[in-house]
Amino acid sequence: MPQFFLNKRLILLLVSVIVLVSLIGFSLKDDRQLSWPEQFLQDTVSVFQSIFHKPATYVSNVFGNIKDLKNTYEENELLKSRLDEYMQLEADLQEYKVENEKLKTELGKVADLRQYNPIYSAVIGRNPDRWYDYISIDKGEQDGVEPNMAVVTAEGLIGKVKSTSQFSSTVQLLSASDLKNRISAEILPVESKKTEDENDTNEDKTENNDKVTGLIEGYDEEKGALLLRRIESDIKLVEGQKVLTSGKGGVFPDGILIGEIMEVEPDSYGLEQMAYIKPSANFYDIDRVWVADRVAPSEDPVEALAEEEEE
Amino acid sequence: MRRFILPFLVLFAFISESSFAHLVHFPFLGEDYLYIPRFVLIFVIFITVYLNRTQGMLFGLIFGLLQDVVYVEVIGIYLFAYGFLAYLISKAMKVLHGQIYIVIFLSTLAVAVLEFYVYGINYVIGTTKMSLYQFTTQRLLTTLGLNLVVALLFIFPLKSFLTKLKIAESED
Repeated sequence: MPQFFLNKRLILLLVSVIVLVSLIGFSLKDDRQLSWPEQFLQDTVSVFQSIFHKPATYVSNVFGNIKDLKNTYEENELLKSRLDEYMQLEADLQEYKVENEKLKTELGKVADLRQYNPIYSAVIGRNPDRWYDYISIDKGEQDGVEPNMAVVTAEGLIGKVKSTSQFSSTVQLLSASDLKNRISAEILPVESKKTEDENDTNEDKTENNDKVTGLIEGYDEEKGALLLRRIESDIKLVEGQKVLTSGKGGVFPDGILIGEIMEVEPDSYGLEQMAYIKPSANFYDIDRVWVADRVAPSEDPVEALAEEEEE
Repeated sequence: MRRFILPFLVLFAFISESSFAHLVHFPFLGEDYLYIPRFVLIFVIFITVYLNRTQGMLFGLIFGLLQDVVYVEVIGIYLFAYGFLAYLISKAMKVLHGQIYIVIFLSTLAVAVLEFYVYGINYVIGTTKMSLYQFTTQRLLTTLGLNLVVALLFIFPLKSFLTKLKIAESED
């Protein structure tokens, strides 16, 4: 037995296993801030990443452009047909905006959860081992990015900021199967046109016009859909209803598109229902994103409660 | 001057991993299949085989730590993996001959071992719920294929570069 322990290599191996396990345990701690050596390394690598990324994007764009050229004609036809519709929508939107503004001034000063300052940034890389769905962006603490902020593309919400360094930050995509990734969401009522169709077909007039709230908890990899849980069971949901962020979770602004309902089924205990949400943004082809820095101050409910008690 | 070329090349491989993951999509494979670039590991193995063991393990340790800190943000997953694999490969090379197809085979084997190891750790700490069957069909085989192709493409230029470097170092 003593000979067994005298084996230098074996001891080295055992020590490194112990170090490894303790390091993993240390870094798995919840809401751990990056230490300065880590930030330094991330920033340094991000500089090289941004330098390298530009020519790489250029090359990949050339391939993409060739592919696009093939579909241009069909796409053009489709877009032309949509254009008239779009003009009408724009006019409506303008009208609503003016009306909204007026009503707001009448109401007085109300904190608007919808407003946010976008921090535009470029994606400079993605975590190569796909166990963790992280992308890195080229804006960091110095530009005002903070952990847990929403990250958005033109197509909709894609994730939240996981950790920040001084000049770069890591974004966790919605497709990460991480249950801590909870987002407060709301389901918009069905568009009026659709309800009419519904009424014609099955005379079902239980459509409610209120917003329905739920929580996004996790991602189903097989279906490629987000799980929207904690919806009251007596609400009738239809496929295709849009789901937006509600802004009630703290840091996220209100009204960012997440996706639309694919499928509804009762939750595991039958008390609530659960919906599969097809995300509107594509998680694979992300180029430019913006981080949503909400104007309304975020308040930690626990801290706020503690303060109230103190008073 | 020659001293800085090798670290720079490995860094290039390291960064190209993330750009590869971000930009390259093979349309014929669809979104279900994942192909993970392991360029740094392949490079480290070539260094171990064609240059020397110490440098191979050193690069393995440094870039394992970098991979942990920059990409994964969980320190410890890759930290010892690259260095340890380089050590094992050097042991194996003492028995086997340094022919090209043997080196290719060994690097593919190392990629497979690394994939299994990382899958195991992630399964234990609960970041993934992927079953072993899914892992082998959707991740392992495609990853091995990709890295085999990359190793085949790069072994000839890297071999000649590293042997030149070795001769230059022995002259110093």
